[in-house]
Amino acid sequence: MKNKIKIERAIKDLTQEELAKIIGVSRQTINSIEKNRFVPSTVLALKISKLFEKSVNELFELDQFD
Amino acid sequence: MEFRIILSLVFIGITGLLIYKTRIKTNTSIPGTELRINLLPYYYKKIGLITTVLSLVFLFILNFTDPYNLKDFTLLGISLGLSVICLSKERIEDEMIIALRMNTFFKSFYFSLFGVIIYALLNKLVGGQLSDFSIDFPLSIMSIVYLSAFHQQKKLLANS
Repeated sequence: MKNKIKIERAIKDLTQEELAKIIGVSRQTINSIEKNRFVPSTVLALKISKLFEKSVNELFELDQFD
Repeated sequence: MEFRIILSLVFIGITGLLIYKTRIKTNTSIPGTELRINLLPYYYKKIGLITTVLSLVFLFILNFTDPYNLKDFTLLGISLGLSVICLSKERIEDEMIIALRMNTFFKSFYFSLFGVIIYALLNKLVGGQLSDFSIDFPLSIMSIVYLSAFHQQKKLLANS
């Protein structure tokens, strides 16, 4: 699964730490989501999509391995 | 002799308190963790660490002089202290830490299960008895494997 959180975060000019604080997780979690090491739950994905004002489908998309 | 009975009762009390505090609770607010252990607060990590270190110090002292035969209690203290460290929360609890914990709990159960069996059979091979093992051995092995696996995984995620 690919995601565009890093790009969206750059557009909003947020650091990993700030984003983590807003959605209530640790910085490591944001880091590992960006590096595709951890797949967030639907609840967390919806929280991120609400913050960036984009739909979940725009932020996360399937790749050929899924 | 009375001292041993009192100490046994103290350990039973501590264990009972642990079982009560870490009972399984049903919680549907965090996805994927509908049935989970009610973990101890973060500061219990320090209590567990102090208990373990104190037990190690007492074990060292009792190696030289042990008039009341209390050495086995220090071994139990080490495994209880390590269990408390394992069963306490991290500073920030989020869904990734919970997923990591589930993973490493399973991993440590698996490795310590076979580790203890292999160790017991090797001990039998060199002339020991299967009944040589007390409860503190598998407990400590499981806790140590869990703690090292958990912290290794956490470090890996933090440094990536």
